[in-house]
Amino acid sequence: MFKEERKNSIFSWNMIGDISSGRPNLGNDVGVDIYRLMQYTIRDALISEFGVEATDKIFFNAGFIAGSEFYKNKISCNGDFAFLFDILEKVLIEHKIGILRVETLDEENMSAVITIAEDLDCSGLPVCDEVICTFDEGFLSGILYSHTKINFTVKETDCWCTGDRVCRFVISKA
Amino acid sequence: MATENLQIETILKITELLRKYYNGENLSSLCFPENSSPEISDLLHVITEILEKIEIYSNYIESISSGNLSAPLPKSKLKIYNALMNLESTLNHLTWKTKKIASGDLNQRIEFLGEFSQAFNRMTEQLKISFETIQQQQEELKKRELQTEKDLKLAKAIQKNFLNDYVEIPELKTHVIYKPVIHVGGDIYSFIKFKDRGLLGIFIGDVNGHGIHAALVTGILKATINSAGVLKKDPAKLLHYINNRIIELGLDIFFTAFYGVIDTGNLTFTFSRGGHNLPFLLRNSEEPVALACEGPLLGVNRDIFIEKKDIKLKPGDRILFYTDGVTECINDKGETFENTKFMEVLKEIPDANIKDFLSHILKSLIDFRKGDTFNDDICLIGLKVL
Repeated sequence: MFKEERKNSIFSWNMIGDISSGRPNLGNDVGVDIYRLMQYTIRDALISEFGVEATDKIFFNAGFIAGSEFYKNKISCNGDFAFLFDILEKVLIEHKIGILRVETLDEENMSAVITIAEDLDCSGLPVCDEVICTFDEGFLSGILYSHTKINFTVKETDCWCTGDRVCRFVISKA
Repeated sequence: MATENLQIETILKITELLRKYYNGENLSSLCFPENSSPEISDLLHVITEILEKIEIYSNYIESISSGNLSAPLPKSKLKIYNALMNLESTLNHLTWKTKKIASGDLNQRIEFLGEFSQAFNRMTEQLKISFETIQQQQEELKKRELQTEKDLKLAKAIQKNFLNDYVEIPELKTHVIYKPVIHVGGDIYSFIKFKDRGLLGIFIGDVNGHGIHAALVTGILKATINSAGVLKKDPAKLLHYINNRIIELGLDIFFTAFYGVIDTGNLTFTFSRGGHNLPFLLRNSEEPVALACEGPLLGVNRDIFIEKKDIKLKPGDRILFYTDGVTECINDKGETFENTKFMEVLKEIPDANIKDFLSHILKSLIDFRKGDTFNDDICLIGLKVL
């Protein structure tokens, strides 16, 4: 299940397991530092093994799968492009992933500029002149694709790590 | 020693300039010393860089303060840039949220902006409640309108039934056109036939208002006329009787009326008026003659003077009775039919039969109005002595 060789994703939500029965005392919560410990050590090991470019690609792809599964299990709604962002804004807060704010949105061309403050992955990281939220780019792309069945380009243009305080993503049809 | 003194002097000069800047002087007007030592030059370089950035961000703040949210925000590693970036994102987001609310989406909320979030969210909630209340009221109103429409249709059928007492006597030709502004009107007419051969009473009246209220009053007037017995032979007495009966009922309504009795035996027309428009006697191609007589608005005062007059008729004479919906009909220039076309139209087609004559007046009204919807009830009664 977890260690099968594969060419395509076989991830499904049940791989996350039954947390309430598995952690009756500790529950569903874990610190953001521990989440980041895992993410940045995985990134570290991947870069060591495969280099920055390949690691970014892996992170994007993982984000895309996560976004698609997150959409299926936590969002799944009917509505137009703008409506998705209304829902996403609420769900991201509900799951403490970040504070999404739409800056501009063009329903006709299906494009948007959004920011995410207090982002789970990067808020508070040291400033280093690197946009770091590759996983988030994939995550948002996966959500958008799942809702619209259209491929989107999601590009992070400003990031906490570049000293921007909020992460800004420019979204357009691919 | 001399170099040290020079450096101290330069530092004092720089301090003085910075104090000036701190006190509001423009950066461009400050003249920093040149040809300093490398250390002081380096210090000056850093200071001017910081000051230039402060200038740039001041200009940016000025731009967004005046609503220009697309003003470019140059990057830097100064903390003020982080704060401005956050502010820019928030302002853009608020603009987006406001646009969504303006487009009717009242489920929008603002999160994590302290007191502003609370105020904004309370505003949208209140707006939502207000809109829902308005929507409910509109639905209620729509239901009531439908009920009113039903009631008006029923009232129309009832009114049509009691107005439809059109009678003819061999010596006269009569015709009526009745067009209420909505289903039912406040105009009333009645033909009264007598046992005495050759007598015909013609009543025309106009109750204030339209709709069900006016229709009910026309019903009361009709019943009052029917209960008048022999008084119907005397126009002044009949109008007195109706006036007093309506006042007795205490309904606080007023109306105009004209009533006349034609005796075809001796070709006389006896008539009285209570504030109503004067009918016209039309004889061949002569000027129309208004059938004037004294009499005030009815339903207001009990002790009133109502004059009674009579005129002699000739075969071929026509009399036109009408309500103020005809004379006060207004066109798109704000002109009334009475002041422009009415007298001219009365003189047209003198040889036509009475039905065609009334149709001609109605057509003239429609042409004048540029449409067949009117601002008041229209009632035309025509009579021709054979």
